[in-house]
Parts: sequence; structure tokens; C-alpha cells
Amino acid sequence: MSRIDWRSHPTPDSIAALRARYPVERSVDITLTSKLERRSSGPGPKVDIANIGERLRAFLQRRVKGDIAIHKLAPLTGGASKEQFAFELDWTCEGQRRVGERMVLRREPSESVVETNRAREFQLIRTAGEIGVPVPQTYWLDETGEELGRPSIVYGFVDGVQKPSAGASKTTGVGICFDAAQRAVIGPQFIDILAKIHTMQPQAHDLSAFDIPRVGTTQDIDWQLNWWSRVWQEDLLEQVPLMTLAEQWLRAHRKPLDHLSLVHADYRTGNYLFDEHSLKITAMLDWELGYFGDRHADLAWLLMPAFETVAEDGSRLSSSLFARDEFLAAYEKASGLPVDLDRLRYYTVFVFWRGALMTLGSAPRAAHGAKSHQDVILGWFAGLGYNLLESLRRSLEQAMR
Amino acid sequence: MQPGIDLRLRTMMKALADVVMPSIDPGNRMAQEQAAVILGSMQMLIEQIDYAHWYEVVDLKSLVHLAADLERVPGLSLPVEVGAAHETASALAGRWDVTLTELRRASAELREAICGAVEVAATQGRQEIQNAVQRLVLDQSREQLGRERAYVAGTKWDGFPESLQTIEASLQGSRNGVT
Repeated sequence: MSRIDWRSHPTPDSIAALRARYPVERSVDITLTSKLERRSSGPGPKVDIANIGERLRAFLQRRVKGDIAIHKLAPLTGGASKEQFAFELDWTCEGQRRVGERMVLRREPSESVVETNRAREFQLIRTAGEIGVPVPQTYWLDETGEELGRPSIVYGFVDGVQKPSAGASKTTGVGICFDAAQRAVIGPQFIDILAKIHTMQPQAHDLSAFDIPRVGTTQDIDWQLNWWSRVWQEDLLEQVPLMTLAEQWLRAHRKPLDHLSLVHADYRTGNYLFDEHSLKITAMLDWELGYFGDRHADLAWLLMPAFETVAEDGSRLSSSLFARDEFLAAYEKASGLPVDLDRLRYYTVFVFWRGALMTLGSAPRAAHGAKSHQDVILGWFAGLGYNLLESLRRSLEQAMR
Repeated sequence: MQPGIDLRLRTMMKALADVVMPSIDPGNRMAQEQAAVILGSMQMLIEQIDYAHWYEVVDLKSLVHLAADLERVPGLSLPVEVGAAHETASALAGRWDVTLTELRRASAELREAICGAVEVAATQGRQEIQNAVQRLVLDQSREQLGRERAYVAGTKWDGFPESLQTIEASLQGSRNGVT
């Protein structure tokens, strides 16, 4: 077997070597190790709605007192990361009969563009709700997948749209356009919610799936660099010298954490729902990548050119909502936290590197192994991947001047 | 030989667009989205197919040049894998009677070796060596990304229209493009 083939058939020794080389948070380690241990098992199973329905019924029956009935179980589109199914549930909650309550089952495919941990996602959504961020109501977690076939969470369905009904966008919700009146209402909410997330205190919440880094150290960014370097080395189909160079640069230029924040890690337009009439944001979604660390990672991500659209006057709108400087000033005011432009530049390199390794490493790896329900979409991500890689090259050129 | 690959692709696209896609359940948005991406992917294959061999040869030659440049950096001790992969790739890049798979395998081996060399440069500590390696990798990446972005431009994801080339222009513009 050549040196490159080992990624398709990882051995206990190769897995142990990766774990030793890249120390990460405990729950991240469990998730990545599990991915490698099942990689050789062949293609991911086809989505079998009847089987999922049977499992879901048994899963819920073990957690809910009284009769239950599941109706209208059907796959949801949107996103290429996790399998999602909508259903209606008749059940009794705290003595009250609820009929036709809409819920979502979110389940891991065998592999996908990102391999993440359901307990982390469940805890973050619940915590976000506790601090006043609009999120779905969390109900149940199958952390190991023993009952639902794959690790899964069940949460409430939230009404709302991802984009104006008259508009278009690309897969994953990139390229959503708002008019000026919509931006004026949605924009301030987008900033206020981000400020709440970045200023929350983890001590008061059950976040047992997370390791919390210490302020004044580089523990947070070390864990992040190790997490994503490990993912790249586990998943890549071909090495990219620029990616290696970027990792070296990121390791050489990291800074101690100045303020501990909850980092959403995919905070952008396309990852929230809003009510099309009131324009109120009804839910922030996609918490699976969240961690505790430097807020500038979220700022750099949502300011990324790939998420820009063009305003009526031809100017660029970050995350389809703001001029860049307008956003940074409003964020500082809402959060009370300073924006350090050096850190922002550093995290700009980081998010391009992380985005490129997901789209050019993990996405084609999952498609290569026929692991996901969205393999054809994962293959399409190459276009985004090379856009991110070009952005990474340009940001590194600037940073190295 | 007829029908050629491009004609077969076009007939498949016509069937997909005219017959299969209108038959998909309008309520099944995932199926609709995947069908649209399949159609777009087939269009991109038509755009790529004429250049597939040319592309892989230029890609490999570009990596061969980078390996040679790294070998000339004063004071840089390269892993032995670089020399071996460089030699294999050089021999293959000069031939026409090779499959795309062979070219890609040689490219993958050379990429692995080059990335090992970049890591070595970072750990050897001397700043002038690191600077030289950084410059070489960034220069090669600019050219490489010009080709890669052109190759997948059909996805409409590219964010740098001022520097986006056609596939042919990106191959001709490469310093290794003339075979």
C-alpha cells in the first residue's frame, strides 16, 4: 500500500499516530477517531425512510410517557453536511397533549464535508437558547447512534425562510440578496445575536462536551490548528503545498487568547431563518462547528469575500448585509469587545485555510468513499474550494509582506 | 470514433433536462437540487474533457519545476522522497502514452514529497531558507490556482473575475504549458 492509500484504509497504528501528533479537545478526538475507524466499512447506507421511522418511534417511545404517533416523516433539503428529516409528533409533554408538533431529526451521514459531534451541537443549541439567542427547542440526543443508526439530535421545527422568496442563491445559502429595507431590519439583529454569543459566560451552562481554553494562553488556537490539521491529513485526496505553508504560518504567528468567547464558526447569512413579513430572525442554525476561543474567527468568516453580495449602488456587502467597516463599528458597540485588526488578519488566513480543507479535503473524501446522501453536491464544492484557496493565497501574500 | 464523449454527454444532458427533471416530484427539493447539480456537472465535464490530458501534464510539470526549484535552495536538506518522486514525475511528464490515472498518481506522490519539504524548511529554522521556500510555493500556487480556478469556473463560485482565465488560456499561460 502506498503512503497515500493509507487514508482510505486507516490502521490502528496510523490512527494512533494522528491522535498523538494532533492533540485536540476530547470530544473532537472521539468524533474524528470514530470517523477513521469506520472509513473502511464501505459506502454509506442509502437513506431508508421506513427504517428511520421505525428507529425514531422506538427512540421516542423510550423517552416519552404515553402514546406517540409520528406523521409526515420526510427528508429536508438544505445543507450538505447532515441528513435532516421533518416530522410531526403527537405526544404528551409534561402532562399536556400536543398534536402534530413539528420537529426535525438531524442525523450524521457516514462522512460529510465536516465531521462533528452531536453532543457538542446539542449543548450549544440549548445554551444559545438559555442566553436568549433564537434557536430551535432541543429535545433529545442519541450521542452514539446506537438507537437511531447514526448519532442524531431531535429539535423543534422553526418557521422562517433562509432567503427572500423572490431571490436566488447557491447551494448552502451563499449569495442571498436582501434589499435595503430588509438589510435595515435584519442587520442589527444579526449583530446583536453575535454580540450575545461572543459575550456569554460558559460557567453557568452544561457544556460538558467542551474543553474550555485558558485566557492568556494559545490553548484555543492550538486546539483549532490541531483539529483542522488532523482533518486535512485524514481526509485529503492530494496534498497542496500552499495548505502546508499556511499551516506553518498559522502555527508561527498565533497569539494568546485575549477574551474567551463562544465561537459559532459558521455565522453568516444563509445560516439563520427569518420571518419574511416581520423580518425577525427566528433561528440561528448550524452550530455543529462551535467551540470556545477567539471571536475574531467569527468576524473573519462572516467578512469573507465568498459571502459578499453587491448592493444597489455597486458596493460590496459582507454577509449580504453590511459594508465591512460599518459592521466592525456596530459589532464593537454591541458587544463592548474591541476588534483587533492584527487578529482579524490572522483569523482571515485561518478561516480561508479551514474552509479550503473542508471543501478540497473532507468533501471529496466523503464523495470518494460514497459516504454521504449529498455526494454530488460535495463534488460541486470544488469550485468553492479553489475560490477559498485563491483567497488563502492572497491573504498569505499580504500577511507575509 | 463516434459518438464522441462530448456528444454522449450532450445527449445525456438533454434527456435529463427534457424528460427526467420535469418528472421529479416538485415537493422533493433535494432530488431537484441534485438533478440541477448533475446537469451543471455534466456541462462542466464537456468544458473540461478536451483539456483533460493537457491539464494533467501541465499540472505535473509545474510540480516538477517546483521540486527542482526547492532542490536548488541553498542549505535546505530535502527528504529523500522529493528526489525519487521528482525523477518519476519528470520521466512521466515527457510522455504522451500515459493514462490520466498514472499522471495523477505521480502528481500525488510529488505533492506529498513537496509538502514534506515545506515542513522540513519550517523546522530547520533558518529564516532565509523559510523565506525562499515560501516565495517558491506562493509563486507556484498563483500559477497552479489560475489553472484550477479556470477548470472549475463552471460552478460559478469563483470570486476573482479580473483574473479568471479560460481553461486554454490558463494552460497556455503556464510556464510549463508548452509540451
